[in-house]
Amino acid sequence: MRPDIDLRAFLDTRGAKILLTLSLLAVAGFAALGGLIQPALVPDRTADLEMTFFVISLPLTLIIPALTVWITAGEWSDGSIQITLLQRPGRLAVLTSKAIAALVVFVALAAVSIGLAAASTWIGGELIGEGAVLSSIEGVLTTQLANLGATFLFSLAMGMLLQSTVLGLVAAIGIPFVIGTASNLAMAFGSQTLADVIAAVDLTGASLALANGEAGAFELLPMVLLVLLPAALGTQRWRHREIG
Amino acid sequence: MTSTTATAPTLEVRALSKRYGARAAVDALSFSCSPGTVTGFLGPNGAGKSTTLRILTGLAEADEGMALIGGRRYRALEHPARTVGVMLDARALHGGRTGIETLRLTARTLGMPRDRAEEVLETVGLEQAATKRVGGYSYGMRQRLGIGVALMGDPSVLVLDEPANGLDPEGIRWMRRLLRSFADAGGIVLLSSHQLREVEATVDRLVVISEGRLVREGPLEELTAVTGTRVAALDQAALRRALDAHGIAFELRAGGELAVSLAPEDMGRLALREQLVLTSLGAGAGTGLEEVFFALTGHEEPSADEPAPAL
Repeated sequence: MRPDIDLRAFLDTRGAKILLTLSLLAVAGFAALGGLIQPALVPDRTADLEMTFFVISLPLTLIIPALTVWITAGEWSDGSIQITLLQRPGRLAVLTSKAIAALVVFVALAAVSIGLAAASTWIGGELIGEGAVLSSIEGVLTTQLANLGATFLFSLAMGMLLQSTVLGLVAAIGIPFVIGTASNLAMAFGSQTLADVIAAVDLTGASLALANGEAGAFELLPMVLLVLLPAALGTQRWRHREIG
Repeated sequence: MTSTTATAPTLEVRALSKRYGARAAVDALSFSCSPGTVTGFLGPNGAGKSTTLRILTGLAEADEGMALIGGRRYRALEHPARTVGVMLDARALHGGRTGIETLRLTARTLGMPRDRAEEVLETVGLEQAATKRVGGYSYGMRQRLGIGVALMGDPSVLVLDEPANGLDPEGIRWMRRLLRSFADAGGIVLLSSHQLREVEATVDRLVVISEGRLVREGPLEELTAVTGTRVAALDQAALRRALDAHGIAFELRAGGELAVSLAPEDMGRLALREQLVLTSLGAGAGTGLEEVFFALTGHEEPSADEPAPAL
């Protein structure tokens, strides 16, 4: 396994540099929006770290799928997987290596986002407002990170399964959106059956339940259906797909 | 330049078969390449060349048979890219990297020293385009870079698919010299090409396939040697029967003529004995690779106003 090679292969392309720059600008912009403007919008004129991170998580739910799918499936789309597999013919090792590289980028992005959220919350609360609430870091590290972690895992599974940047992105961003919308409709219609069916594929809901310590066996079902199953099928496809 | 030694492993394809649905892309194909040789791998479009090369390099799996390098499958080699340099499709090089970044990344992947990238860049003549993105390269420049990537690990075997495509005449000369010196240093080169004249000028052995099957394998001189006589008869079937009956080798040529391994006078005597009416008889000219190719693969030679053969 050579995740260092996959990280470098990802980082030294022009497209990745542009995407990373735009991502960091978006995260910084939303951090400023969340931390600096918050005191002006809340009654006690404070800035809460969890609220700031929630604002940052809005672009992150697009950035994480984009980066994760790109790292895992990008070479299939641009054809350079041929060169990679000629130089590193151990396909499972390459796949694992790419998954680790994607995880490293996700962790780094999450860490930068938390840092920016904390900084902008402190500046907004202490220098502009009436105080900064940093004690809500626990909520960031559980609820918010669980949500982003679910996004990462689903994106990784879609990249592995579909082995196409476009299809992977459409699935990684589109399916959670469809599930979220269907979940709201089920609540609006009051249909328990529909709600149960949707809950079986609601990875975000399951990850939140897991983060809050309320997860039961049922919450494992979305993980199995949306992450483990596609990842297993993707691994099989990765091992045997012909190149060229 | 490469420092290939005389210890290059043998490249061997044994009874290789690959089917896509009902169609046999490769059908019980066997051939081998020895150190110190440049082998041309020829066949019409869809003959199974690319499929064979992809199986050889681990990018596709065979249904039956095996393709071995030094007795092992590509994927089982300890350092595959340091044993076999491969360039199958120059378009597979990532367009978002510069030429030197591409080579440095390859050097790092293969565990080669960093300055090997500059060395290879000079070998392939792309110093001036080192910091230009590959997406902005011409196809010929991509081919050069692809060959550079193949050479990066200082391999003892080179497998190249259409390496002369997109190269200008100077580039083709460069490639010819490169491959020749690689083989002369004890390496093995297996190349497929559309450009028969370039193949003829570069290779010393040929493997010709058609519809996935081996048609002919041997030294270039043997295959392109003067083949005796060109002959046609009023009753072609009777002519063939007569040749078969006397154990005389022949090959079908364009226009229905047969190339026969007899001197013209002997062919005339045979026709007299068998009471065959000949419609043409003449000494065979020195056979070019192009003629051999069309004869062996059973494809018609294109007429003068048709475009050059894409094989």
